[in-house]
Amino acid sequence: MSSTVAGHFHDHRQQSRANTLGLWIFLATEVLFFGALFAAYLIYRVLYPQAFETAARETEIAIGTLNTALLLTSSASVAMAVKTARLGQRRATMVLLGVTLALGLGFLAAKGFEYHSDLTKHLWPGSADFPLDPPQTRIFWALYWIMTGIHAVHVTAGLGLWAVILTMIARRSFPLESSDKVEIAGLYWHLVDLVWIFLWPILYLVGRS
Amino acid sequence: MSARPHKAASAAEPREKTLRAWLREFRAELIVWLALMLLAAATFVLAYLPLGPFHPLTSMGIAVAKALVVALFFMHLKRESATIRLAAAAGLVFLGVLFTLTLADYLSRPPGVELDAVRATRAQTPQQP
Repeated sequence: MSSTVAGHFHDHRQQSRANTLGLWIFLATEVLFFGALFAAYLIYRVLYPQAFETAARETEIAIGTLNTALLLTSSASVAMAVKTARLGQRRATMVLLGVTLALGLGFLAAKGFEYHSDLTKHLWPGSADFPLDPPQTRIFWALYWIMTGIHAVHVTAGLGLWAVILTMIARRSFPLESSDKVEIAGLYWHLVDLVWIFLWPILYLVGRS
Repeated sequence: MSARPHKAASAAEPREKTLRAWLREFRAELIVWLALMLLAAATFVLAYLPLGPFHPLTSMGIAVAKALVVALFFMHLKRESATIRLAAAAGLVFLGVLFTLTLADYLSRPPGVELDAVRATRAQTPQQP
């Protein structure tokens, strides 16, 4: 067990705390990264409330809602995997991470269909055939592409992490119960879920009543 | 995770666990998941009801509630040490600064200034498609 503790740490507990603290500091920078986009959204929504309602009505609400359910469920499967990993239950952890990967890939696939549908309807701000009026609806759609696009990049990065960790567990590359790999990657995954929790209502649920 | 030492590999993983045993093991996670799905369903329904100006309030209120549930239970902030809670709070504090100072500018501009400026530029430049 001591082999998994790096030389500059006293013991396992100290290393684990340092890992968790480091990741939380990274998550704080992620909050600010997405926060700037949310601030931009808020300003334009305050300036052009009618245009934003008109524009948001055109997003694919069925796909957006399905993706909310997929991501919330994947957060639950990750939380379960963190628990089983800590208990050293290798098979259960692999199954749960497999479920997480499947849910994440489902999210990206649905997003792909959604983007295709948006493009077919010329719903990108530079389109000559952009179907909506007033012109400020284009601001909403610019924010839609940037925010969901960057979020999808985060989902992809998270899936890459899970794929690597799943392979390592399958190869028994590290002692499961004394490692916090699953927990650390889990924190990142939950943050990606958190961002979507706020994206869904502001991009999909506006102007529906 | 502060006071809990890492347990060495507990007894060999039982080959087959009953569904009941799994449900008992993941009781906490399943309750949190159910709460999140119910909150999501509530936001969805509320979005279609004629609430007028209260829409942003209800949808953001529920989003904050969901975020808290994820952070406290799935991300274990509820039982983390003060240092880690501080790191998590730091992001929110600076987010608060970002929103407050930005909005202090935009919300204090006299109404109409923005649109007038847009119209003025429009009048000078040739019509855009």
